[in-house]
Amino acid sequence: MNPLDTQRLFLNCPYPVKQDGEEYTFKTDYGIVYSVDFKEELTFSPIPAYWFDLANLSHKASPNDPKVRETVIRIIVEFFRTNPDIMLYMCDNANDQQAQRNRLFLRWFAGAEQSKMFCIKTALVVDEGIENFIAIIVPRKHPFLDDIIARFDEEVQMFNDNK
Amino acid sequence: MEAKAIRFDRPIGSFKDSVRAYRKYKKEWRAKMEVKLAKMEEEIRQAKADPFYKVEAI
Repeated sequence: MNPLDTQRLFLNCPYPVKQDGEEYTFKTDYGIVYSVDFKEELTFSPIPAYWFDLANLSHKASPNDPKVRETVIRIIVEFFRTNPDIMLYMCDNANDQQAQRNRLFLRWFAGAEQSKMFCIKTALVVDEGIENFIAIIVPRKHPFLDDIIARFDEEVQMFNDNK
Repeated sequence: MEAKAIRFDRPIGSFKDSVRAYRKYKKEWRAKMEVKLAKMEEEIRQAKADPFYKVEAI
């Protein structure tokens, strides 16, 4: 993956984002530490794709903090600036709250002005009895947008047919 | 000019294994990060308590 420009993140994000190895970490005004991770996914090869993850490492209840949302959106936008292909997101299934997390992520992302630049599709797949909400995000200008979305749909269909 | 259709390298159906592997990875990554954070917070706590304490790069 092409690294994100930390200087750009520093200038654009409400919370300073620190790169630590392959992770991007920030601390909120409420003392909560969040970390963002990107992991390569080969399903769409030769088109590069990465899983995105956001973790609240402090395990403290997070108040409604618009600066967190803004920081995460800026990280995603910066990701696409340097890696203009595919991002995947899987909701954390801790406490069986994946459906709420899925809604929150989509609300965050879809509500942002920048989201108009992207095509977002979600799916529910069940594996080993676990519900996984998955989202795929692709820039609308991607030359293979239709092929990528068709492939995602086929994979999801196959996944659910075999469950 | 219309873009040429892409030919994906991997056989269809491989996503299931990817999802399973990623779920496992995600769990491990979070556990690793929590340990890292705890270590970092302990370093900060000690540094605050002792002005001569040397903070290791984490």
